[in-house]
Amino acid sequence: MTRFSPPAHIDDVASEAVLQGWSDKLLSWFRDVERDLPPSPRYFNLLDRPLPAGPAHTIPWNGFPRKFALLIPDDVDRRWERAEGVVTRDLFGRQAGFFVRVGGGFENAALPFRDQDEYCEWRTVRRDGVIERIVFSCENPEYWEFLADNEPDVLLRRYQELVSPQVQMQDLLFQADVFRAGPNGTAENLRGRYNPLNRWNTVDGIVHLTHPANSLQAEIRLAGEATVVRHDGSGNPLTDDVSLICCARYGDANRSSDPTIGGRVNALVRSNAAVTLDDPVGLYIRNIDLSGVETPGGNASSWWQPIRESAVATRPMILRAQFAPPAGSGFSMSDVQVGGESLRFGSQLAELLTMVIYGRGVDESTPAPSDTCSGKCCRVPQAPELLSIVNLSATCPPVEPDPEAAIAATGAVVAVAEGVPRIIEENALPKPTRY
Amino acid sequence: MEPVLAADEIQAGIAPGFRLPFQKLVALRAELESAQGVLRVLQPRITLMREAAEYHRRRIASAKEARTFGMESFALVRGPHVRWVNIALGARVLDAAGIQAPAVADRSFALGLAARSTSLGDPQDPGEPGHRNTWKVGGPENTADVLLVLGSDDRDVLLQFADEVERECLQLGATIIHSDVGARLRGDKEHFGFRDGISQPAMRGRLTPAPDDFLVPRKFAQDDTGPAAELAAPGDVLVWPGEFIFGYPRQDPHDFRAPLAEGAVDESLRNGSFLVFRRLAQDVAAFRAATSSFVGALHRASGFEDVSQPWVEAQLVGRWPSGAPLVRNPTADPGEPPGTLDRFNHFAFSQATPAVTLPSGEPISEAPSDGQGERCPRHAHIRKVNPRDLGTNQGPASQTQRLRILRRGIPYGPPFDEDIPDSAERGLLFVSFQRSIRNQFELLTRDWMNSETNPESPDGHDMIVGHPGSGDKFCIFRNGADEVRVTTSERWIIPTGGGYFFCPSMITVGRFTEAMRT
Repeated sequence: MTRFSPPAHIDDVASEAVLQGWSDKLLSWFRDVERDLPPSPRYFNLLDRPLPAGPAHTIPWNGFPRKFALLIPDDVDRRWERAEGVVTRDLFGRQAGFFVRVGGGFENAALPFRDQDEYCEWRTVRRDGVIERIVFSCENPEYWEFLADNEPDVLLRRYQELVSPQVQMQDLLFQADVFRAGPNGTAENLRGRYNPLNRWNTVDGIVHLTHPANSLQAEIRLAGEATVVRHDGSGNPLTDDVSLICCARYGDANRSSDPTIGGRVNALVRSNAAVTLDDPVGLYIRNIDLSGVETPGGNASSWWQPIRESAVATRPMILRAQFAPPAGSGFSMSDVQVGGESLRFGSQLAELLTMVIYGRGVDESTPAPSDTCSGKCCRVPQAPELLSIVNLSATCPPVEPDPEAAIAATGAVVAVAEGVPRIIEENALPKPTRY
Repeated sequence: MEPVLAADEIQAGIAPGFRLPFQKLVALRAELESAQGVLRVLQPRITLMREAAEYHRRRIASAKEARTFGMESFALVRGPHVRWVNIALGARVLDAAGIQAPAVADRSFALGLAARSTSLGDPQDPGEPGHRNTWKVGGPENTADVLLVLGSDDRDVLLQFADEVERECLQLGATIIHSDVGARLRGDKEHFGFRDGISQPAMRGRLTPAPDDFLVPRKFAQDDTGPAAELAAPGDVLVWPGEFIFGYPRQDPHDFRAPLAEGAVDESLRNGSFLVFRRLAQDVAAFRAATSSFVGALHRASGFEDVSQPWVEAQLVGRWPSGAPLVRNPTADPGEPPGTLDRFNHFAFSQATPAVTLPSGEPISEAPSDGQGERCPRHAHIRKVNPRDLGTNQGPASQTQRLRILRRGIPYGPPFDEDIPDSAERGLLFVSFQRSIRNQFELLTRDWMNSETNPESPDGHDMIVGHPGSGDKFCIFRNGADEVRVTTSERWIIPTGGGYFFCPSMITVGRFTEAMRT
């Protein structure tokens, strides 16, 4: 293998130079992580250490945000509706990593995104209140930013094909001074650059992932940091998924995805493997369980329509799919029953989605790097069924359950142990690779 | 400290379970007045947790003394034969009584089993066997309002008792939609020939304020450092009672051991539990024919020339017919254990399980880990329905304990004679109790048993019980680097009835009998 492929081998780009550019980006992200790991890492990439083709480790997780399943276990309508909101702060108060200049510092630009943090997002497209289709995407935002920088015509064409012919190039670019953390502690002004949280990808459409945790770099980093064996205070290796993620701080303990991916990677390392993400590196929809979806005509599979996916049938890699009446069928979404009730939210289908990443392992004889804990978990005060990960030295706040407050409000509804100041110094802007 | 359970409020079927060798399930259609009449008559006879727990303590004490275990132990209990009864109510009749809380608490209960049937992998095509329209009970046109569970340690006593109860129900205006007599089979096997019920979640909780008066007896020394903090017995994970009964601490989703405070609970739910009933016909001949064809397919592949039909079937189940788990016994069935069945449950998947010596003096050796499914395949039934210490698509291993259910099923129909195969109807009266039908029973069925991928990896479906709804099901057999995928469109377990019910506390039974029609 001489270069990394685009996600799912998608053929947006024909230029060899541009394809090489994507591969170079991926390689740099892998190497960034490898550099940050302790000596003799058990994490590698397939360009620096090629492997012959072989079976992959499939790591699945559910597409619907586990945090909402934990917080709202019984009232399904409320859960489904809550999970579909476009917000400027997620359940934990987190905002997208874009800022505007205020006085001597920077303030969050409060851009909109979907509060769906399992590397799977969806949009229920309605016309006059009636569902037309439900669109799912797990496309990483970095790829689309890369398209914007290298193939802007392709970017615009894809937006027009996937969302609306009305999309204009200026809709996709920041039209004002908006900043994010740049290299060496400087702020990078994005005016004129691609706005991943533009209206056609948030309030008026869906193309790629928007939640600030849903990035490919985060996934590459999570997998890498999970290759470090962790010990508790007594020197015993940690093996439990939650203990590992709280200790190593490589994601969010409330998700289905992060603890599971980290736990599986760490288990492979403990069984003497070195680990990497397989090519094409990406986050994928594997399948949807349509057994309980009853459609007129009786063939629900014809309503599930992958739109961007890999042609390799042996390894499902769906980037984008929609659930909609088959073309020309004359059926409508109101005719669909999901689990015995009418289809009212895309969430009903999101609960039936299985996501995957594909990993590779190779036997290793050297001892795995190990480390002690840098973090621990506290209960979220208002909703103790949820965890927040904090510094090892932090004091956990007292638990004061108030689930109604946690569920009912929109935006920042759950206080976290470590707050973020409103005005941020330039050199403190958060890196966009956070989990 | 584990909570004191309302043992005089909670019906015995939930916990500790009837476990009686003979049981009869009677499904009734009844308007509110009739249902109230039935409950008024039966209310004084309802068997509660305390009575059943005391009975089983006596039985187990006698069994230990006589070293006679399993269903034979019931013959050791002194006194008259028992006549136990429990009652569960459907959504329609609860709604008529103005008791809305169960339907609010669980949307799947409100919708009912027939509506949710295809979500469980049942056929969508009305022409296919197993479609809800063909059910003996619980289909769209024959949904039950009341489910009676009757039990005895003696078959004749049960039948006489059931006759009396059924007559009373008819006199009170109820209609019997369907009934089945279940009987535990020799060796506590199910009809395919495998010992069943070895692993159950151990519900935490005490019968009295005494610190060690646990509902589920503990087999480990009670200290904070050993397995007692997590296990009642080898492999039997302690689960906080709120996962099964309303009004008690729930299982923490992030920590095996920790409780999670239960929020506000409607009084009509308190001390009650949701009951799932599935009448599952088992076609033993079809199962044997299918596994025989799998053997043929495997023999044609490299690396599987020597496999036998018992090996193939054990791979599908994850245990040998004796109940011995593949994790401990990967190559052959060791037969009945020299000690108790505890050694057949002393294993996990992700981590090796250290050797233990039970307080009885019985030593149980270490079990190896099997994270990659090299001993017990990832598609095996026992691994699909209880991934134990594995992280899954649902999240970390601690989340797995929130999908546990209390299984109270019993086989029905005659045992299958391998020498004289017949087509008599036989199967399992599957009964489970849980706090949430949707988040426990249904999730377990839909997301794990029926999935080719979940909970771990795409090695196939649970071939024993699972079904993807339409199309074929498959699993992958592995032997080192060799692998063979076998596929079938056959269903050897066919749903033929059932229902979703709520099993109320005595207080709610009283409230139901006094309710005015809404």
